Amino acid sequence: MIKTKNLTKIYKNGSIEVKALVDVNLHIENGEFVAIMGPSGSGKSTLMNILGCLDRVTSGSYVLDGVDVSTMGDRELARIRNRKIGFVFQSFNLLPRITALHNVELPMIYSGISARKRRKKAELALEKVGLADRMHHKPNELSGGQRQRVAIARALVNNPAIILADEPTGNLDSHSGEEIMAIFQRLNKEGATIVLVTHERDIALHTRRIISFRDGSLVKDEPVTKPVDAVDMMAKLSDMKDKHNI
Amino acid sequence: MNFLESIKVAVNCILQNKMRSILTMLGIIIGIGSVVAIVSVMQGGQQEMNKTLEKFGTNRLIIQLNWNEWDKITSRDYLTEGDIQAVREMGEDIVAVSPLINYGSTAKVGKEKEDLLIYGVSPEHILIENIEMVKGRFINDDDYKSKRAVIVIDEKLADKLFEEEEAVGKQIVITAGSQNNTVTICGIIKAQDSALGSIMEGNRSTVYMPITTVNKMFYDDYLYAMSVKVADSDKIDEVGQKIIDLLHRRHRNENKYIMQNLTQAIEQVNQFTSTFTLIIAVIAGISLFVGGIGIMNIMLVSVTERTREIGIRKSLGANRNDILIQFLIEAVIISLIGGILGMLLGISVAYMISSLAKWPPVFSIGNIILSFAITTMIGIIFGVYPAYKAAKLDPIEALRFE
Ligand SMILES: Nc1ncnc2c1ncn2[C@@H]1O[C@H](COP(=O)(O)OP(=O)(O)OP(=O)(O)O)[C@@H](O)[C@H]1O
Ligand SMILES: [Mg+2]
Repeated sequence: MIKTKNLTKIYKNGSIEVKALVDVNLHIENGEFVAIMGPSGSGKSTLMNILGCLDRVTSGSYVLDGVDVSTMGDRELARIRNRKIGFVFQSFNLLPRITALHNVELPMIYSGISARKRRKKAELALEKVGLADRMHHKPNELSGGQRQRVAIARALVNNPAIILADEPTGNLDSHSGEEIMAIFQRLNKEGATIVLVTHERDIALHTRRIISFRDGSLVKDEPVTKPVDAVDMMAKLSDMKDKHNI
Repeated sequence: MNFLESIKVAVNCILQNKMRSILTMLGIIIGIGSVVAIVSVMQGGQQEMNKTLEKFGTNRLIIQLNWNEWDKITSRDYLTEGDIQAVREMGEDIVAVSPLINYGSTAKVGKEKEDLLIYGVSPEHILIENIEMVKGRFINDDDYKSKRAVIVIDEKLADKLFEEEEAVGKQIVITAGSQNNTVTICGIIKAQDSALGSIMEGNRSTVYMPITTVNKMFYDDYLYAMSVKVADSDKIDEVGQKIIDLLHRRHRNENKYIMQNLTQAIEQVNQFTSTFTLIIAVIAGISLFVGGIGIMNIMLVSVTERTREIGIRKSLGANRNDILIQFLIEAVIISLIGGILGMLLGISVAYMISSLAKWPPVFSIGNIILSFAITTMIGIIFGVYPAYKAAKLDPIEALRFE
């Protein structure tokens, strides 16, 4: 699914060079659920942007779904983003003035799907994340967790090869965070490939593999033997809350 | 991206910033408005002039004494019946000739009073002017020879004086100086409406009488002018000059006769029209340019405001063209709405001007299409730079934009 070879990204600002990624060799198979961890500035977002075809490598190669994308032009990259990538961002990145439903329709507008089909698929995607009753709300009428669920619906609506989430729970409280992780776990069980960046080990432990970065290099790659189940976790959290209330 | 979708996005965006959009459109509104107003009023004027031309006849010519040098005119310079005959015999260039004189007068029937412009003519005059008989007859040879007190009036005057009643055969009293004369209506002609004509003739009704009768009524036997119809309107100046030369030969004088036709008038009007058009074109051009700059400015603001939106759209798969087209469409729609508002403004202003000018404005499909084409072009020309700026934004930086 994802295969990088000596992937290197160097930012040049005048005479100053920042090596954001150095010789990263990464292999992610179809159906995996991977967490990427590392301290601030270690290159996690840079990696996600490259994996998501928003940015280009300085050197090395990146093969996505059997296609070498490191040499592609803008137009082709846009097409790959549209068909093969689903992004989920820390700050949701929904368009504020349109409804949740319309936000979810956006990627399909760029793949030329007819209006009727678009609407139907968007409704299905929103149902999948449990927001069927909030379809016609605008983002500012939704809670943070709900907004992130809209963003997930938007990410998966075009059946992408991979879902990339950069700190999707970063702006959420722990309960909403668990809700989001529950959705990811379910999607993963249904076969989706997911890569997510997080600072929190608790969140990373919901995945099945943790890759750690430091100063732009991949330093550790470990499996999670017994991933935390988000649904159980939510039950525990509400138990705790009840106890505190009594 | 879907074209329709782009239009929806653009319209929404414009609706969300109504005031700002209207202010942006102002230059376009004023530019298009002034062009539409002026062009339609001028085309109305042109049409009016054509009507007048038709009434007067483009192959009609009036030869008259040169009153510019009235002090040098003596009785031997006056035109004669023989001159008329000589002109008539000049050849195939001449279709018809009639002596011509006019006097202002008033008509009275009971208490009704109307101002008149009496034309004294010969029966041949009906061949010269485009006169259409509605009832009765035009003056004939007997009227002419016997100096009969008969008069031909138009429908409008007949309606005013007699309303529903049959006017032919009725008598009216017309004034000649301090004297009253009773004349019989022998025919009614179709009224010819023309604003320019009514400016020339005042609010008077034009009526026709035998010139012999008119001369008797006004105690003036001299002949000052003749009206000529030529075969070929292209040769009107040439034929007119021939007639003048003939008259000078016959009277053994020079510089005593001049011709009057509409070519000079038309040239003057055309020159005025083209000068005016140029001035308006410059003004409109400037305001459209300013309007275009306004659109460019507001689109640049819009691109900056929506940097994040552009980043989001790009991350979801929009390519440069999608973004470029989206913003271009927005610029074109702003421009087009401005154009439509401008047209509405122009049409209302045109009606206002026309009510003063006394002729209706003419709105041609061609001009409307042209206005749409111009506004679309402005939208594209001034929208392309902001749209290009939006299209080439780096998605990662755009997403980071606060
Ligand atoms: N556009 C850029 N120009 C120059 N340097 C950059 C640019 N983007 C990122 N960097 C640098 O690259 C390095 C990696 O940045 P990156 O955003 O990938 O870190 P991160 O691991 O995502 O950090 P965080 O956890 O804080 O989000 C940092 O040193 C950063 O300063
Ligand atoms: Mg980051």
